[in-house]
Amino acid sequence: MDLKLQAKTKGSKGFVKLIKKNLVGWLLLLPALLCMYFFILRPMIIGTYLSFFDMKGYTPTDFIGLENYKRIFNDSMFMKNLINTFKYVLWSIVIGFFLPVIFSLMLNEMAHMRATLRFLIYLPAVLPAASVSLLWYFVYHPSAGGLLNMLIANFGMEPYVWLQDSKHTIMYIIISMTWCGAGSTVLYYYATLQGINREIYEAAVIDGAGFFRRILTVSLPNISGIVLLFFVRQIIGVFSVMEQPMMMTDGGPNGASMTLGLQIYKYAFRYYKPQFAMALGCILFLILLIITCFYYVLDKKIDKMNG
Amino acid sequence: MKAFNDMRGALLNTEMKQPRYKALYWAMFVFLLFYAVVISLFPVVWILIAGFKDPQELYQIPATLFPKEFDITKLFEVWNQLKIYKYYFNTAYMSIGSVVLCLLCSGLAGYALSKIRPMGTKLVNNIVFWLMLIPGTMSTVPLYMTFKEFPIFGFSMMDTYWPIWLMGAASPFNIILFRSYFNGISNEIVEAAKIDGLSSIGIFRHIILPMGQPIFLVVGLFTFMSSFGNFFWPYLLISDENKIVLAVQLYKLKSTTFTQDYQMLAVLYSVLPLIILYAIFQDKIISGINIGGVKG
Amino acid sequence: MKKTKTISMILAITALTGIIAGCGNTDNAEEGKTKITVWGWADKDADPDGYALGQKKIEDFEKKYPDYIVEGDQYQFAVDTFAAKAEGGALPTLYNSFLTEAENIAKLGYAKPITDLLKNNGYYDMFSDYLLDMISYDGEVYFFPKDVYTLGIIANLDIFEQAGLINEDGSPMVPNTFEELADMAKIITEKTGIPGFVQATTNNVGGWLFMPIAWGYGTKFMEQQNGKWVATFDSQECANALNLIKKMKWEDNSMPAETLIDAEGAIRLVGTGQAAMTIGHPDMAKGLKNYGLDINSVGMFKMPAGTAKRVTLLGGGVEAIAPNANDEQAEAVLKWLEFDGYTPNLDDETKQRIEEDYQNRANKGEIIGILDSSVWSDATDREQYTTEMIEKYRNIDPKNVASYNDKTDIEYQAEEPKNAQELYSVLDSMLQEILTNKDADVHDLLEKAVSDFQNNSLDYAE
Repeated sequence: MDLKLQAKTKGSKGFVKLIKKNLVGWLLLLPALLCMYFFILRPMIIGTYLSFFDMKGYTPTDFIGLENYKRIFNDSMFMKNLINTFKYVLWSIVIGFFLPVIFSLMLNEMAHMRATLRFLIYLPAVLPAASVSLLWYFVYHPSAGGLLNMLIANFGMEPYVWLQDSKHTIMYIIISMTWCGAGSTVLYYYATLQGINREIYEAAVIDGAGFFRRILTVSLPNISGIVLLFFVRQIIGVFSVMEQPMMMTDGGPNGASMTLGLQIYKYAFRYYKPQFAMALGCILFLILLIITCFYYVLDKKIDKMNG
Repeated sequence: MKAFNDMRGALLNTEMKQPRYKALYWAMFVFLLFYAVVISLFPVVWILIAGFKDPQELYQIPATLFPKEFDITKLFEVWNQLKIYKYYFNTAYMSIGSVVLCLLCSGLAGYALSKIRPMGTKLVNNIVFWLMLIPGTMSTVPLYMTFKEFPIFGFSMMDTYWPIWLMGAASPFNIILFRSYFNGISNEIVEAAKIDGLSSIGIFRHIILPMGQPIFLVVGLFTFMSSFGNFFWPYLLISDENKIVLAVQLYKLKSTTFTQDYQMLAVLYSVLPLIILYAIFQDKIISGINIGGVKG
Repeated sequence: MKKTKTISMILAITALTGIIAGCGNTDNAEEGKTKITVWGWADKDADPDGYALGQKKIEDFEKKYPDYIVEGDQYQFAVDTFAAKAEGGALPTLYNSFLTEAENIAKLGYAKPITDLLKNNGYYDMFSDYLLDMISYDGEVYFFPKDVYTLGIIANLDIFEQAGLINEDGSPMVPNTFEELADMAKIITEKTGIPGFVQATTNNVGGWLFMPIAWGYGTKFMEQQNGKWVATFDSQECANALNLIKKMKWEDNSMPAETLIDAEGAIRLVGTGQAAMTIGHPDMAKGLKNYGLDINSVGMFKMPAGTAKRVTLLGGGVEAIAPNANDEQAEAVLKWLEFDGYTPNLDDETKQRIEEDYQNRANKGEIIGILDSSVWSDATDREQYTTEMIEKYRNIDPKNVASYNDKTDIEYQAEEPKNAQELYSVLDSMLQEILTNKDADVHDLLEKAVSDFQNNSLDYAE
């Protein structure tokens, strides 16, 4: 009782308590904040700063202003890689965006084997990206023994070169990425769908809404927020894609699957030009920043729409 | 049909008696089943089957789905020759380290932001949110320089797992997860504990830890699984043969003298632990998705 | 409160000690002794014989030079991670690399200059001129050449036999020109259904392996005009070379479906009987046995001639000293190299060392009998002794590699002087396009490749 009283009285004790609370709070925050400072914030600042310098190996030598940027813009590969990167994003929207929405809506209706379906659909999502890339490398293998070539051979078709068909390489890589990523997106949407109160559907039925009408007026608006979030996340993720083309095609054939991310890697670790890597990183960041801002504007609108 | 009683979707139980809705339902069911079995599962199974073929058989025309013989000893052969055990150990070591540091740093930070709320909490919340949006690719070189020579004391973290562990600890997303979960723990309990004389750490140990068990488990699982497949940084930073991890070795296999069938079985070994883990903890993982699905 | 602090402290301390313990183990040599680390050490578990041999070598060395301490390091050169190691100061004192990377390494200061060291010890004058040129940068020598090799054609003779390409005396038929190579590849594919030739196209290796074909047809890649470097390979000669590949792929169908592969991928195809021939160097041919190919089925031929000349690319392994090594360590490294038998000096000890080395290789089943070129300007005693040892431990049938071992009637050419890696990358891309796009126009490709290479790389060459 005595303690309680003391705590409630303002005064020097209260002040000490305030200090204590702040001290403890900040001490607990410190490890995480330090890590985030050193491994997220500081690299970003340093990277921007050093992108204006010439370097010998990893040692900055002279301040050269925008020279690195000029050189990147002059590089004939830059435009090609930028367009390629946008192609990745585009394909990921075409393939990877609608599919999870449809799947989650279907899964939401299931009364049979729901757990099994859920388990299997999510399965690829737990696999490491490196394994998935190599797995699909074999699925797409251009010899007769590749999985897809074996399948089309059953229909009497000649083996096809898949990843080596430069017109579609990006699409094939995106298919493999979607295979891995879609499962988790489906479950996120599904979780949100499960949260919808059934009475809303029943009310819609009374208003005379058919099944598809209910999907349009009830289900979709309810998941639109999280769909938008994943949409933006997906764009950001795909825009900086690097590991998958690195493992599956090394950017080939003839640069058909090169991305800005892979270019950054090559500048930094194949051609010993880290200054270009950092300048290109900044360009990449600016583009993503624009996309993110776009998201905020959209998100506000959707929030308003949903009341 | 009793099975339809627990349906939770837009289809109503009453509608299921109508043939066209029934048809729609089963069409969707078949579609999903096809996807789940043929698209999701089959490639993984195929890699196992194909891995049993010898290299000549892999290229043989016409190709066959099943190998001439299933020699189960081949699995052990690959296990020994590729030293899978070594890479399992290294990868597990790296992943567990990430999990420990991540739970500790992010958990404490989430607790501080949710329950202690020192001055500046709002600011920190905002910073944490914005940090989440910075793409890692852009900072490849500066991060690399940080690991090569840490800004304080100038020591190097090359050939250690520390870069991976510390990056695991620096996860804004996990801090947000912890914070929003702890927000769900009622403040009254915390206040009552304070009155009972528990210190902040005492509260963390005796209230937050037991009550937040699900979130610790979920974040730990997700961190472990993503860490297990970590490729890029271990590839760049670790060249000590004795510390190389699974994903890196998998990539390197493409340029080593092991034939394609061995590489295929190596892929299988690289996914096996995660599939097992997933099978054991699937409920936790799926409930984790429900927690993580909370927007923002 | 106290607990909070303790926990934070413990966190911080464990973090720091862990980090510090994980690094900085470079300079803890015993008092007054000079310690060096040496690359390429065998793994204790995977290759116990090689490891034991290495440890014994160290023991003997330290007995002879008590002031030095040597430690083995498993380091092997790899392009993507080299810069990481070099920057992190994690290179062994003596490390290896390849001539093709020499320019970049020297330019970035990742190797210690050794001109004076070599002059003081009298080795400087023993290098042949063309070699000296390849290991120097800006007037300083940075590398110690270990072995020199030239590219040739690697063949799977099992497939040759199936295709009837074995002479009556049992020797394989050898293509003397690239046309003949294409014809043979075609015959192989027609008779056996196995692709006759495979070309690597990724990791800049494709372009590198393509150089002898381009040169053979008379391609000039670059020249200096008024102090500026200009790319000159948008020419009929280079087009002819590329057309050879195009013809093999699309007209003769004698190349495999797999295109995006590196050198090891190509060797894997030859080794597992999925392709008959590829371009490579002796070490790559030695790699065939890892795929279960019998030694008697391994063949290696001299690089065929193009329409202009018969020329091959001269490549090689080099040894370099880590940039952070001091002069004493550099001296110790040179002593080690002498001891190990990589200098032209030959005494009984070196003889024994060389013999042991070949003995160990023979025990491991490594192919012995494909002759490398000579590092030293004149045939030295050491070279002769090495040749004797190769003779003694030879396990490959001489007639299968006779063509390659005959070093007459062929020109050697070093790599292009500027931006060689970037050039290979451009060539990689062209080869990939030609091998994946049936309708690729070689002249358009060349025009674009030259403008890319000029604009993105050569314009910045000093």
